[in-house]
Amino acid sequence: MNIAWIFYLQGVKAALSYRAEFWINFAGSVGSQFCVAFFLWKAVFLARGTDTLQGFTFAGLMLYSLLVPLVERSVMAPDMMGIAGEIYDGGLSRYLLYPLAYFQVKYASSLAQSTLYQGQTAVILAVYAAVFGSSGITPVSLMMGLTAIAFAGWLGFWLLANLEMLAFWADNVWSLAVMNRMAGWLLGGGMIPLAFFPAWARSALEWLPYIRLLSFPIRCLLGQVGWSEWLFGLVMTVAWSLVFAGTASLLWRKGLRVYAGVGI
Amino acid sequence: MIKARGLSKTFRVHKKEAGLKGSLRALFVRDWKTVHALKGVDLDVGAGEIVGLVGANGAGKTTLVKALAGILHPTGGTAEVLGHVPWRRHNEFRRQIALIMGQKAQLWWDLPAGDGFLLLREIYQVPGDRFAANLKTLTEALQIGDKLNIQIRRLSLGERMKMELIAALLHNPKVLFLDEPTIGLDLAAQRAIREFILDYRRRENPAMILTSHYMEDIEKLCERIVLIRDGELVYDGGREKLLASYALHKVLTAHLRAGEAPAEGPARPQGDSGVPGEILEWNGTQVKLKVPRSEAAAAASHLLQSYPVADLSIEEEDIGTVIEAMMKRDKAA
Repeated sequence: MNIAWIFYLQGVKAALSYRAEFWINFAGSVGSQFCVAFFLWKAVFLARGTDTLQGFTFAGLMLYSLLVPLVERSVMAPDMMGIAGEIYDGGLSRYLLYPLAYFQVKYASSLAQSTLYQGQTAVILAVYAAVFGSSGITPVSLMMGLTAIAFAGWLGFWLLANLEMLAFWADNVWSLAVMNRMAGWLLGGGMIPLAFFPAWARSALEWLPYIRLLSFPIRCLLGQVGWSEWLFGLVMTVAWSLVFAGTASLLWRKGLRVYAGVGI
Repeated sequence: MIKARGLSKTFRVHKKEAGLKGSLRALFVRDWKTVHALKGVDLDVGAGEIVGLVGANGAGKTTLVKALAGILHPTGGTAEVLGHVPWRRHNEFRRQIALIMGQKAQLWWDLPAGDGFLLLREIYQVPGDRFAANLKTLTEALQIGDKLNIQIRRLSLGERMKMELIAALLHNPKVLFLDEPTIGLDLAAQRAIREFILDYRRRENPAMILTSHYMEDIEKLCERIVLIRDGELVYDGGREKLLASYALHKVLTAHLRAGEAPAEGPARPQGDSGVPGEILEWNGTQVKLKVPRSEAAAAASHLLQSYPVADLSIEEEDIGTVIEAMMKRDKAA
């Protein structure tokens, strides 16, 4: 059996073995973010006295706000600090001893968690559609969105891997990981949809990686993206992933020369 | 099977003064210290050998083992293990070695050992029948078969160590690095693991390097001892040669005949009329003396003439004492 598949299955088993944490994390992160968005946008709509904002109705914004934490959990650091933690505590040593490719294994583990989150996303969307209607989500948009999420997960993995590997040299990279998350949150359209940004900012963000992590997959899910834009988005996602994979490979080779294999 | 030449490793570590002042200072200025963990180490280990790597804390034992296992990239020198440069980590090399670190669990903490072993079967591509046979042999030898379904983190230290041993041997490695494999274990578990290691050597004839602070491990397992101090090898040779060359004393133990033993023990302090050497123990029925090697025969004769000796034994000094004395002497020199 393929090693990556084995680690994928192991990741699923590990995630499911902490059942309470699995559901609390799910309810906590999705529920709290949705509640904040609900009261915030409710206040904005009431204050403005309008039915739409930048093309979004209140219901549309709520669906967007629901999708943000769901997609974010899938693509942005399902296993945040996993690599850095193993460098700090010496857990990396085991992977250096075993005849396997480290990043392949780590990505498989990350993908395992991501898959579970995607499953949750599908369930929530189904419930939402049953209660409030499909809101533009079609089988085609669902396929486009889930594909974009899968590609975004790959990009998110390599982006974070670069930051985490700085742990070879720095004592703590937690702040960097959090900053990366915040940057993704802000520049990727997690805080507010990018439609609220000025046109020049949107044009600039189009070429940065963060937009591919959140805004692009969510817009795909909502049926707001045509085929050509979808293909362009996927190409950009792959291009950025290759850039980060290349720099990660460089950091890995340099980092192992200073790795001491010490820790708790 | 293992060959190292001029192996050296230097670490750069930062220093910080204790206390708030030190913490504030470290925010702006960082002091670095260069640590030479290995200084030009030469080492050869052949098939079937168990080499005991001995030294004080921080001497460089674990660094040497990690470099030879491919975890660390050395600063200088060369090494070959099974014809491979370890730190290039070719899969063919990694399939033939194993490293057990007594202070560091390598099995997956959240998984039962059985799941971890299945994972290792895939990683090392061990054929199913060989895996099943190995697992059966290993679990029976270590009497741990009933714990395979329990998460690693819920096992006792001894049980965990046994699982680590099994995990390391499932793929029949040709080179085995054992870094303090019996640390923290009770006597029965230590003995079980030692017997198991010897049995594995009989069956597979691997090259093994063992580090341990328990001298019993070294005594029972290693015919050859390598002493390392401050990153340098200061002795590499047989255990017997070490004792013959460096043990300055012998230990004489005389059991006295019941009812005939004198009320008082050998004279203290020593003198012409007293027993030569240092009295280690006197309890009325047994006397134990530490005497210079050259005077062992004379001391034995003195005991036989002066006391109702029922049984007399002359033994080498404890190897740990010899090594400790040797390290101190070399350091002083």
